[in-house]
Amino acid sequence: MAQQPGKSSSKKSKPSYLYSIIGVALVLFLLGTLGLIVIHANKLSEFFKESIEIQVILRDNVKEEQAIALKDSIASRPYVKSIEYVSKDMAAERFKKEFGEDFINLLQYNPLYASINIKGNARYVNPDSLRVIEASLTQQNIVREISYQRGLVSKLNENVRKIGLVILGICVLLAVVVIVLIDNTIRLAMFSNRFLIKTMQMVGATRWFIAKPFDIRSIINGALSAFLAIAGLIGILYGADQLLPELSSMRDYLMITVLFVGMIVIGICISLVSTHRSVMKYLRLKLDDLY
Amino acid sequence: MAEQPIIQLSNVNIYQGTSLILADVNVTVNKGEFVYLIGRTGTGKSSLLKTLYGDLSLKEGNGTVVGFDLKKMDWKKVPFLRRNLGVVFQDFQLLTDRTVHDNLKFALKATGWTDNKKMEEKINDVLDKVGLNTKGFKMPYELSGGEQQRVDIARAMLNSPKLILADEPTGNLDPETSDGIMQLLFRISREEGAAVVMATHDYILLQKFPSRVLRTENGKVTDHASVTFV
Ligand SMILES: Nc1ncnc2c1ncn2[C@@H]1O[C@H](COP(=O)(O)OP(=O)(O)O)[C@@H](O)[C@H]1O
Ligand SMILES: [Mg+2]
Repeated sequence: MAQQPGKSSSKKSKPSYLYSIIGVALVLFLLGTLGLIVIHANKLSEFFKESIEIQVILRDNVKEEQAIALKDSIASRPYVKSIEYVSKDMAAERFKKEFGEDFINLLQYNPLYASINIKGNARYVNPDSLRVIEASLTQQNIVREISYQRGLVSKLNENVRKIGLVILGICVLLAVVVIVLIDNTIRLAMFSNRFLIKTMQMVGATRWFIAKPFDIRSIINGALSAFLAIAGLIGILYGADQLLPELSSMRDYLMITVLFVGMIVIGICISLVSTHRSVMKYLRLKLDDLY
Repeated sequence: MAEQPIIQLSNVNIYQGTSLILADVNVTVNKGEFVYLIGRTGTGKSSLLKTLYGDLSLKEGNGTVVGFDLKKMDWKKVPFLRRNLGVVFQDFQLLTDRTVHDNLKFALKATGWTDNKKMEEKINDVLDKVGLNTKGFKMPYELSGGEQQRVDIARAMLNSPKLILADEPTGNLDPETSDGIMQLLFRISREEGAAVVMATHDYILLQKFPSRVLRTENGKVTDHASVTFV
């Protein structure tokens, strides 16, 4: 029973949890950015989608009563957000206002068609639904054609999805790095606490008991990471406000709160689960071999 | 009369990795017995003890220790086996960053004790039994080697074990101090009714404190039921 100084639980090259905390914070920050994009993309694309106009262009010989009857029957459909009937004269009037030219005088007749203009609910403004709507409207014999900006509709969805996938991919990669980082930190922590752990093992502490302090630490670290990441996102939101003030009006504070809470939960989960897994893994090994 | 033995091993083969260390071990140790496990270094004393406290899994043969079936041991059950044993090592150190009292308290907490009053009572009780009731506040480095080993023994006694496994507990001690430790272990065995299995390669101790001997030799364990010494 020689006295060997240094065989203690307090003397150790203290493992640094800093990298793990920053790593988890980085993953959360990216996830959070993705979340913000998704939240706002929905709002943004909703905004765009509902500003897209579907023009139901009517044949030249259609009577006003017929047109209004059609308009009224369309108005009751669920995809309609707003609808208006634009007669030939109104169309000419608008054209004049917009381009400042009285071309009717020039041409001696009105070349514009009467139309029913629909703005759809965002939910229905997607290529598939629009095709169905178009088909059903074209069947009406007073309808000449349907016109809307086809390209715009499909691109909106696609771009958001692409950016999302890229960010998600980076998140997954980073998460793997973080798990390795945490594993390494735990290995060092357990090595430097090996006398404490050995004592616990020999007197009959369960693995769960031994893991508890590491687990508690990891919960704190996970929450810490989340707060760092949230601070970063708040910074970004603030910066976005300065750049695009009009964005702040469509901000969804409820969803942002949900996102932040979600980040805290995910942060704690990543930290706790990977820490616990590592502790259990290393408890199966000989502690002296950990270094 | 049919009290279950504290240790029962039958046809046990003990391996380190893939190499067979001890073959066909048959050992029975009864309540309150004091048994030496003697043999040269490297003959498998520690391996046998490790099998008994669940550090080496039992692959071949059958065994029970303090009522636990070694065949059915897994990492979930090992802690509970160990709570029914006391283990003392040559190098099973105290935690040097806390007092004797806190070392003992740490071990109690690690095994599920929560009641402060009961823990204090238990700590005083075991320190009393090893003759260190006035030294609870000391740091381990303030104690002599013999005193430290007594604290180790006190720690082993915390959960009132029916069996104490001691692996060369006197290995680092001078002869007089060793005698004190031996007397303590014998007293515990007698007064607490705990069986003690003590590994040593120190034949002189056997002469001074004769008792039953198990010998590890040539990959076998031989039983010398009562000690006669050559
Ligand atoms: N962890 C281990 N891994 C592999 N072989 C081991 C290990 N521990 C001990 N051995 C081998 O097992 C044999 C018995 O060792 P041990 O049980 O420590 O004997 P003793 O305690 O009698 O000195 C030795 O040959 C030793 O080299
Ligand atoms: Mg040994």
